[in-house]
Amino acid sequence: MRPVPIPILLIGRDSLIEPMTQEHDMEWMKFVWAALLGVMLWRMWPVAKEWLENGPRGSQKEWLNVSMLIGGVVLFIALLIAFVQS
Amino acid sequence: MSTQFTSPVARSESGVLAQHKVLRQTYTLLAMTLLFSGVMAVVSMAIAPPPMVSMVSSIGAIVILMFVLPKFEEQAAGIGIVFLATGMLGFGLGPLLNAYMSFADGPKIISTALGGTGAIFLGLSAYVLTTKKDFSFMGGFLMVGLMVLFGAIILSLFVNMPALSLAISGAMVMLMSGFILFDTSRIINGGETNYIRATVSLFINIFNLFTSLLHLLGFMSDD
Repeated sequence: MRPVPIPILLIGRDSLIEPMTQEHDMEWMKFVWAALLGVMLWRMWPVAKEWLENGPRGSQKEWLNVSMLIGGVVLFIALLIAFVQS
Repeated sequence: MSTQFTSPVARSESGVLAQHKVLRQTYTLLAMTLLFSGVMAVVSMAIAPPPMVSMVSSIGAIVILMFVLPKFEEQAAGIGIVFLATGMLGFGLGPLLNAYMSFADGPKIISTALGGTGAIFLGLSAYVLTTKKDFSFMGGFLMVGLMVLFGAIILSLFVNMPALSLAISGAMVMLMSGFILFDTSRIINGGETNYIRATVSLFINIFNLFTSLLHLLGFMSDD
């Protein structure tokens, strides 16, 4: 199994760069981010394919366990949202 | 006979010791890089560099992580490169944090995002470290999820849809939570033996989790 690619950095997000690109006439920066994300996507594809084809499979019980953990995270975030709205 | 019995045990013990060593080194380096990145973010907030500088800093960090670090991840020089990249990422966050600070509830939003990120990371890591469960079966799902998210992010760069942006942040929080389970499990089960690579993976999970949570909380707040 090939190692997991490190560059899963997703800072090039519209929500993060939009205020700066709009205020400072840097629309072209979006194209730079899109190109970087495209390179990451291109590099990730063979790794993702290999994980899908040869990676270990989880049982129903294991996926249920993961769902409960992620569900817990979602509930926690709902609490944080309620906190900032209070 | 005794050799046959002791040898596998000795190997097993050394394997466990090696995994503990990787785990200890990973968390030590992670704590130091998070601290350094935080300091750089504060410096960036204080000096308020032009947006171009912070963007170049962030792009430079990505380029370093993608193309430079893989060449040095087996050497001691890799540690310096990790500090350079994480410091640049922290520096790049300065203008964004300043933008949030300009909200009436800005400090509350930032501190809640920071605390929430820490709680999610510690909670999920503690679960994996305590149960020692193997989450490697999530690999394929996480990779595909990330690729779909990449596509959505590229789309959202050119299509102004706040709902899409919000959906991306929500999906990102869940995906990064999954990656924390996956990466931590790989460290303790021997799937990841390089602490520099392990540190960068966890750092990026935390970084993405924080920025996504910040966006979610900023959007949902009354501001």
